[in-house]
Amino acid sequence: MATIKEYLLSGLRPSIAIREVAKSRGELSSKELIMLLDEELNGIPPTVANAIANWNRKSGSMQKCAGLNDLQFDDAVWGDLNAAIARL
Amino acid sequence: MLSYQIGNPTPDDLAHGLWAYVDANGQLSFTVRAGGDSEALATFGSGRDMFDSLMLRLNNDNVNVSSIQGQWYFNTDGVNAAQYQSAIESGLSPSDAAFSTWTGSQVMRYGFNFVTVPEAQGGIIKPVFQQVQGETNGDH
Repeated sequence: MATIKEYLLSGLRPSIAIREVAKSRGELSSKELIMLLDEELNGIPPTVANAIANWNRKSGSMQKCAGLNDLQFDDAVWGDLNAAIARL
Repeated sequence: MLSYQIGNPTPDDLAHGLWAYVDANGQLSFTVRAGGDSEALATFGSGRDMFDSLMLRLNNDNVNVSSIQGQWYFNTDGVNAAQYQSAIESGLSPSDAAFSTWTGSQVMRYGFNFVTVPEAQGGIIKPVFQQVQGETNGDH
């Protein structure tokens, strides 16, 4: 199974990369995703954990939804995810 | 990183709960959402109830919280960002605006009386609240 790092380095947006990771492991819950990223990144940045907690994965890229849509989620985590991967 | 959970704040799940993280430097960050039904409210309490429970638990665990970082998303249903934006538009300073939010009023009750408010980036603003003796906010 590919890791979040491999998906991101292949050029996928974080929302798509994380969805792929969640799907490949049997549709992980948000809490399970946070734990997985914490493990894969040797510590998940709190900003990423908070964004996942606020991410409405059912919304897709809808502009208005409860929580963050995909585009807002990508904006929230992209920089910190790349920095975390660079530190690995 | 220490983590704490009450219910599940994720908007596409229960939409009622709190997740909190404390990093190695003692910086607390948390997400709270109280949008659940009456059963969720009865089970987990209000946003303020959950925040108070978190602070009590941190105290019982002897976790020293040196700062609290907010992460507020503009153009979403997030309460803090909307309150902050409204306060700025009414003429408040960034620090006073940060303390006028739901989170600002909660952390103030626990003595976090100083805030640093960086520029918003990518539709997100990340104020950092601290306990500073003799200060009332970050505008000095």
